[in-house]
Amino acid sequence: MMTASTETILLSGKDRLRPETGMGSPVGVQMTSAEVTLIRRVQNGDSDAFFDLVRPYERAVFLAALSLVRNDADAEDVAQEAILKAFKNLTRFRQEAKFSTWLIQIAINEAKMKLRKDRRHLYESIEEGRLGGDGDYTPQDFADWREIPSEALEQKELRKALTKALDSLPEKYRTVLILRDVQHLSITETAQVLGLSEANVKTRLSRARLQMRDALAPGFDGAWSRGRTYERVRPFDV
Amino acid sequence: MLSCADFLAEFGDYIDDTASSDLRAHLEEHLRECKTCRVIVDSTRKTIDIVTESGCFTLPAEAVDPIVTAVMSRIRQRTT
Ligand SMILES: [Zn+2]
Repeated sequence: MMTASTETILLSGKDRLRPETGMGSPVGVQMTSAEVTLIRRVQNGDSDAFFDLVRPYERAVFLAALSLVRNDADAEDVAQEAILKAFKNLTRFRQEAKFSTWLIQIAINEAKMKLRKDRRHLYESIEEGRLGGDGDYTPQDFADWREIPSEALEQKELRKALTKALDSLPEKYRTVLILRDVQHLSITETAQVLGLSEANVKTRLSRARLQMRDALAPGFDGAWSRGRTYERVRPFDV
Repeated sequence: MLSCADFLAEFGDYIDDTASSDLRAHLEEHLRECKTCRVIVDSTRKTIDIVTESGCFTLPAEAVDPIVTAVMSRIRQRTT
């Protein structure tokens, strides 16, 4: 069943992991002292403190899971397993990363395990094989977008186009795009969470953004740009 | 002069404003000459805005919150 609320994911900009700093602040161990205190309390056996610790990231965990497994029920299972695992392993958390990064990382790993279990052979071979590596991506659309009228951003058609565009991305690009551009992790954090090099994250992010761009291009199916015309530019020379 | 493919290989750092000043100068030199890449940069920036500005999507977090609440209460039962 594909209730997969991409649209829900898109809402999570409000739930970004770092609301106070917005995009791209440098990573490091920058937990608040309140978090450090809560972690100590949990490590000393106060399990109530765990719920205060996790509360700001509950949605982010679910949404990270959903970005991979693509349906609510599985994402719910994954989120539950991930948070339980975090609880059990918190005594071993050494604060080399931020708690939120560590927690999302557990969720992503749980989600990947779930995918492997569910479609054991398909997952790696198709995603990695047929869709190729992280090589070059050639843009497909060459319309000059000019200004997008703000009303267009509120149209149902845009939301539909966005959902479809996000669904059309291969999983490895979608996850990077969601962590970076929707949940606002830094490149470094995204790399940590996914266990990739930063260079790899950057490449995937560029490809994801270009593919989204093509998928959203007003000239692509014109669904949300009716009545407007776009100048086209010379296609790419490669 | 960079080719469009060279430009595209580096444009992630350009878009995120993390390119070194040297690289940036090279890329901007290409941009001055190449309308196609200007259009791609512009529309990619707009794509990121659209993806990022989720405020323009009216579906509320109401869809997520009940699920998260249910998950947390099950976890509470299992840990206390
Ligand atoms: Zn060019």
